[in-house]
Amino acid sequence: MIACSRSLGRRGRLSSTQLWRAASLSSVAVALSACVGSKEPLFNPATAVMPAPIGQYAEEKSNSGAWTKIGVVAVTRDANGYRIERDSGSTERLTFYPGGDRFYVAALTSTPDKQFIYALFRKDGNRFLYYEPRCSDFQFVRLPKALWPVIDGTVCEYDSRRKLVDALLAYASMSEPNKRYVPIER
Amino acid sequence: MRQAPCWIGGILATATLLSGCIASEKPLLDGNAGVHPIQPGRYQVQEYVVGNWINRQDGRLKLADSTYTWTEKPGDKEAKDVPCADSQSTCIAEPADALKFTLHEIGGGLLLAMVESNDDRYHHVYDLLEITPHGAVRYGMDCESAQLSRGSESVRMESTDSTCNILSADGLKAVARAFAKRRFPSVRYVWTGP
Repeated sequence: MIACSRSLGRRGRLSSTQLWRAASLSSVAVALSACVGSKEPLFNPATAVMPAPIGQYAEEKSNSGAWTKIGVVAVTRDANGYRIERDSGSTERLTFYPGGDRFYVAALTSTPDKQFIYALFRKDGNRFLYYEPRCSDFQFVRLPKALWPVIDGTVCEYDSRRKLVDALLAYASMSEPNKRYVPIER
Repeated sequence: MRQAPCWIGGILATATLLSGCIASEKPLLDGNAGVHPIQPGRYQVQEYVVGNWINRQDGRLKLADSTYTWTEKPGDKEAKDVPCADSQSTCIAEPADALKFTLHEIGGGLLLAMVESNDDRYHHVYDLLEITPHGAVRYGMDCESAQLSRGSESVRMESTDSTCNILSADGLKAVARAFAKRRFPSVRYVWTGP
């Protein structure tokens, strides 16, 4: 679900030469599309909410305005969050926190490097619209100056929950969702 | 299939290459009807880094008829002189990184740059520029971000190999305007002299 990564390193930008070389390596290309995150946890797991019914969801991506199914995810409860299992077999653990106006900040809590990264969902009827800011795009979005991130390597970082939430909401107000998740009726 | 280079011009090329180009198989703009509002000369290239413009390399912009040529290697010693079109005389070769493009106004002070590409399928790639008092800024349009821009979601495009293949001139202009509304420019060119 959250496809961005913090794994490329935490200091400095790559040189042009390095980037040209990286262009031929798809795994590095994914890593370059790093996340919005924080060094320290910005949310208390005790305040997590559970807005999504458990079950299976169709994962859909927009193509010229038409939503196309690209996979299926199984959502199960896992303590105060969700365990998301894709049909490819990969799993993630997300916790949701209210962002207002049917928005929920999703915190990825199962990163191998114990980092904290965030995305945004918006409940749309029984569906969930998914906004995944990539730092490579997010740092150029016309956010108000007060909400600009600190760039640490390839990561857009925040040290304040309020600022993070406001920045994600501002981002969503200017962006189309990356994907949506539609419950599969049984 | 090889991925089309979006803009062979240093820092921005690298960023856009990784997240795909805005491209077309056939030219969506009339290459013979390019405008030339940007002054030829030397430019300092600056990269946008969260509110700051950081000096990078400099380069030279030339204009012949309606076609601009940009190079960041104006003194390229590896460039060899080549026969001119008339085959009789010798012309000074372009540096290896020379990028030829035409500019096309789309309103609101925005300009689309159309670059010929040697990609197998996508023969034209596009970027977005805006004139400033000291030169120009370039947005670095990339496929992934263009698809996230409000106003471009209904534009017909085929997304393959991370490239957005735009099918109409109107669609291209809509994508460009939506992109500029959502994002800051990525690169600035500051005129430093003739």
